[in-house]
Amino acid sequence: MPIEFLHTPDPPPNLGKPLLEMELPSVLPEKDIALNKLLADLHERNFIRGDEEDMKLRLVLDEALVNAIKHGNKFSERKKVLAGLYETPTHWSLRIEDEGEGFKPSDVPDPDDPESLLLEHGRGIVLMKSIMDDVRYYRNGSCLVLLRKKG
Amino acid sequence: MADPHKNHFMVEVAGEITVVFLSDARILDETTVKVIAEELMRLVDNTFKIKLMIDFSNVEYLSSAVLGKLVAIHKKVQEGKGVMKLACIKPAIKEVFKITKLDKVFEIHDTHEACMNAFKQKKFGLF
Repeated sequence: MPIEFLHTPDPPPNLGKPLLEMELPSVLPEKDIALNKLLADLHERNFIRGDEEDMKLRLVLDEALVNAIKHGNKFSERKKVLAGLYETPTHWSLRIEDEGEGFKPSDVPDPDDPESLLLEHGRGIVLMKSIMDDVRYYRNGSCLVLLRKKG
Repeated sequence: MADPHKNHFMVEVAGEITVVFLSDARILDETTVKVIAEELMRLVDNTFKIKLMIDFSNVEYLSSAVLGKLVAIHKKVQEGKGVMKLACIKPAIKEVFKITKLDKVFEIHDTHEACMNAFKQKKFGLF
């Protein structure tokens, strides 16, 4: 069965109180700086705890930021990636937005198809979905929102 | 021990088996992933019918790009009529293999010894 996730042309809704927002150029070394800042903030706010959670969120953030820089902005120096952390009384969320055109959900490989098991790419959404409580794509896929329930 | 800044892995040849010990605790950076994959591809290319074991004892984190590269290396090994097995993958990483169903693609052993033994077991048909 193909992976189910929200994919809409609409802009994202209000995600609550912004806790950290940053803008980064579309080059990979910048990704690690943003990733480490976001991760440190997640630990500081006790949104994540321990080494295992650290690894999982590192994976999620790496996936989201690399996708935005590489597939979204195609490494264009003129294009930026926006990354932010938000909270509501019940949830925290990450928002990663690029200036690309998004993607078609039909281009995402079906994880249950034996052929896609041997593809080099296409594991990102499955991984993000298993680690976060929800994965939602807005603006045709150029704006990713990752949600997690608090506590 | 190998300097992780210089070498991303160490190679040990034990009889017919080529053992690769990944040195980096975190294999995340796209450039590092590329370098490791290219070097491993070269190793596979240069060894006919390679019996390749990749030991993950030192690895704490990896990115999904690593999974993609492992699939590519696995394909290359199979093209050269070789065999590839993975060993000593930490539980958190193992879960990543499970989520992506790659635990069904790769033969994974909990310990180095179990993996070595799996290579040594000759498979005879039933008489």
